[in-house]
Amino acid sequence: MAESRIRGEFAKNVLTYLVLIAFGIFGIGPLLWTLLTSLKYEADIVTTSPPGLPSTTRRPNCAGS
Amino acid sequence: MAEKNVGRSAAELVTLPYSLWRRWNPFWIIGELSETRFWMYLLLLPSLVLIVSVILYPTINGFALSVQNVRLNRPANNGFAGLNQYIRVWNDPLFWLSLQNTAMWVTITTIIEFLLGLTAALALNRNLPGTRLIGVIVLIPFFLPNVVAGNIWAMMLDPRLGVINDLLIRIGFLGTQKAWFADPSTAMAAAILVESWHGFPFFALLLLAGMKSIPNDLYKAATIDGAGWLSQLRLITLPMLRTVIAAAVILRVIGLVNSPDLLLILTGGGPGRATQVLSLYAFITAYKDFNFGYSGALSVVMFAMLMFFAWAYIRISGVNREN
Repeated sequence: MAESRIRGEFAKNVLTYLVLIAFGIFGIGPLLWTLLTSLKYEADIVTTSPPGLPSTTRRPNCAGS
Repeated sequence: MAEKNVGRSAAELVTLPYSLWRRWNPFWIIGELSETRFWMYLLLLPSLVLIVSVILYPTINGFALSVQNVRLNRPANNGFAGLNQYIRVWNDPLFWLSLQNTAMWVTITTIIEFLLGLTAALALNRNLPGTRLIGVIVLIPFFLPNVVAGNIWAMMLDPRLGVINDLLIRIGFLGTQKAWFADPSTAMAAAILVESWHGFPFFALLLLAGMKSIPNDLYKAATIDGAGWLSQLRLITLPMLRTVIAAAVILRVIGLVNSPDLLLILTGGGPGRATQVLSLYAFITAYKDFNFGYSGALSVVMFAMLMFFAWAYIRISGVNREN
């Protein structure tokens, strides 16, 4: 009885974390993608796969770089 | 002056500046006034001035605008129009189309935002380790201005550069790039997705605050009685959140009806008129057609509809009843 309750609680916690992680990705994903895009050159934005990291370490849209 | 002072004693002359100062001292005057019955009205005066200048005057001015012809590009016809603008609104097919779009936009967005917000709030309310950080992340979209949110998603849903198209093609959901905002059948759905992303944290925040105020004993008693998670949600959580839900829905509906900015950035009301809502129609009428009179009439109609909605929703939901 106690074991099944603990198992049920564990499953509930796992489900809660999965839901929260999904919401976290949904919430911050677009912002992260925008941040990555802001670090790319225009050529990189068009040619590389969109979720990828910038191909260069220079920051074209930041002042002083 | 010297003659006037002849009758006064030297002591009076010495204390004259003091008595004059005392007579005109603003602190003394305020002290005297605080003893009268006018004091409460004086205290209310600053708030009254603020309300009149910020709320009442613009509202009355808006009503006055709606019964006038005010066209900046045809000033010769400007003048009193009576109810003509309202008759024109009634006979305007674009108004009815915009109203239909507004109903769809507001209803679907509010339902999606509510469901997402409720799910997020239920998960966050479990207080598991690390959920505070995720809670902050979940709330971030709501802190972004509509303009920023609109531009981010316009870029993400861009047919050439957008990450959404790229991912959907990679997983085989799409065969080729799709212009989501250029297709009348998908433009509204795409705009609703963006608004839902931007607005669901509002519901999450309010519902979570409401859930925190529900006594834990109720859940303990329900668990002892054998009530499952779903029964607890249906019989305890949602009824206890009734007032919060009503307030959140009314605020969100007012916000959605009154804000044309997101749709202005994403679609501009297009393609065709597929995403033209009432607020956008009023905005375009005022700032593109320069017809402020007709725009005023549209705004007054929107105002009346929102007032009616708020009244009807409060009555139907029963939040103003005792218990």
